[in-house]
Amino acid sequence: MTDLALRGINQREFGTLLAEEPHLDSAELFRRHAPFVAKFILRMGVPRADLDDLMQEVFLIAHRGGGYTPGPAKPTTYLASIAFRLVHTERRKRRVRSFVETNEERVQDAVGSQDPEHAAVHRQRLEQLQRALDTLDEDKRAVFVLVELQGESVVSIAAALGIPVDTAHSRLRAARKLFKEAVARQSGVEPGLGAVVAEEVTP
Amino acid sequence: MTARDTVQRLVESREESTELRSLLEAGISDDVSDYDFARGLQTHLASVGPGPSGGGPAAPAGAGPGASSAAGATSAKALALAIGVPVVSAIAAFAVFATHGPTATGPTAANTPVEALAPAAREPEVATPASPAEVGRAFAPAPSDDTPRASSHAPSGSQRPSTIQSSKVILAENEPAAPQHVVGVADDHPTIHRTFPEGPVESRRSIGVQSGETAAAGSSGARAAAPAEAARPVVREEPRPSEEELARAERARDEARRAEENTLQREMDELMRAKRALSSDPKLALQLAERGQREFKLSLLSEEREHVLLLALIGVGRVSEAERRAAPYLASHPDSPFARRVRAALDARKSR
Repeated sequence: MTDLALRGINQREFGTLLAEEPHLDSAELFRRHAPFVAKFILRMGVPRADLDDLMQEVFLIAHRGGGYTPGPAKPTTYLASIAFRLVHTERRKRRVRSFVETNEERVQDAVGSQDPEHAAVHRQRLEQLQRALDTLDEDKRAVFVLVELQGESVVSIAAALGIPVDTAHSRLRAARKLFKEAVARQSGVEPGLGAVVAEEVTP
Repeated sequence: MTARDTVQRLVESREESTELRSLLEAGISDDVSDYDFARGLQTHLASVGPGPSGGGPAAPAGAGPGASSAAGATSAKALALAIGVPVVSAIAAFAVFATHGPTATGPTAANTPVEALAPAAREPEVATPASPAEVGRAFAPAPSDDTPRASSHAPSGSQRPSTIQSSKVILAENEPAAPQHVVGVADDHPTIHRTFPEGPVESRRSIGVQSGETAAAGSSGARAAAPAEAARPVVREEPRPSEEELARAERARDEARRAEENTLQREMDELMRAKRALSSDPKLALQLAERGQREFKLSLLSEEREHVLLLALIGVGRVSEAERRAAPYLASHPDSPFARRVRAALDARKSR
């Protein structure tokens, strides 16, 4: 149990984490949790065009690792931990390639199938959400997205990311503060926001 | 769910603004419906082929190393990376230890100071991450084929009071009252499991047995002996890190990350300058590329910078040098677009 202690996870919490999850191979993981992973990847700021590649990589790595084995992390947070590391690497590569994509493009496809009026509102909100998330660094963003948007527990996230539970809580608190500030800023400068966004994405 | 794990999400909090909650709701309700999950699954199945994952199903949680599958071996490699530093230290300790007795055993993560384990496990590369249960197994003591290890079940006569060289284990918070087994490395015993019947551990604590102390190992009879009493461990509290300490650690990480980002940014800027100079001032491009190769060495941009350097060499007329230098580059990146450009530039120069 030393690894649990390292992460600040106590016995009772460990018991709750070891739910009735069976061993899952990568195909079964895909069937059950692909939407979760796709959503996490997009909310981490990966362009829509790269989603498929990263999805394949995530589940390929899960396959090579023998799939999910019951442990402190849930299947979802286990997959999120793989995706998190891939996103980190992918972001560095993307910067190297000077790849630039607007926030608008990032969410364009995601709302394409809805009715136009609803889609417009949804798109605008997703754009604002992405911009606010973009103000967070990767570590805080991952915890924030998993808790606030994907409903994961802090303990499971800590177990999957290999960080102490207290650190996960600390990141969540900091992320919330920054996120709220970003949303408030967006509200305050909404008329000129286009210019700000354009500046952010200019190479 | 425990108290520590119960977090009220912002979207559920009436104290938050409607706008903030509507943004979060948009994110929560976005189901990425435009992604073709069926096709994604097909692609995945095609790439992994039939049969079980990863060359066989993962060993069940708690299975011993002897039952490890190929997948377990893969994960073990990843873990070896993740805990590389402490293992190296442990191996060094083992080397020293092996010279002291025939029954020496390899060190384990359990007897590696946890402070040393934690940072190394922080940020593994994107290489296959271990599944959670495998992480647990990896931190558990691993038996060695040729080196028997002592345990609490060993015959009582098989061990005698020994000198504990180092031992440190952090116990989980609120662990039950079961006796705690502390693994130490003794000078004349491979591994000693010592039992401290202290009852429940109320908070995270570190049990250290000071160097040179005499400890009784193994059997309860041995524990009852006077030397064992003399070797009561020094128990010292290790309080949870405070908010301030956590914030400080986060700030340090942020600064390190910013420094890394700044270096990458500077490297990118210099490379862009060199690329821009290629057509107008190849000599300057060459200087910038050479300086970049010296300063940044092997980085994500090395391949691109080397291609700029080769084009600059061709540009200033040092074609034979470019050819010589291009040979290993083209061999190691045969299909990259940079290599194609270098080949094209060399061909064009030769055909003149």
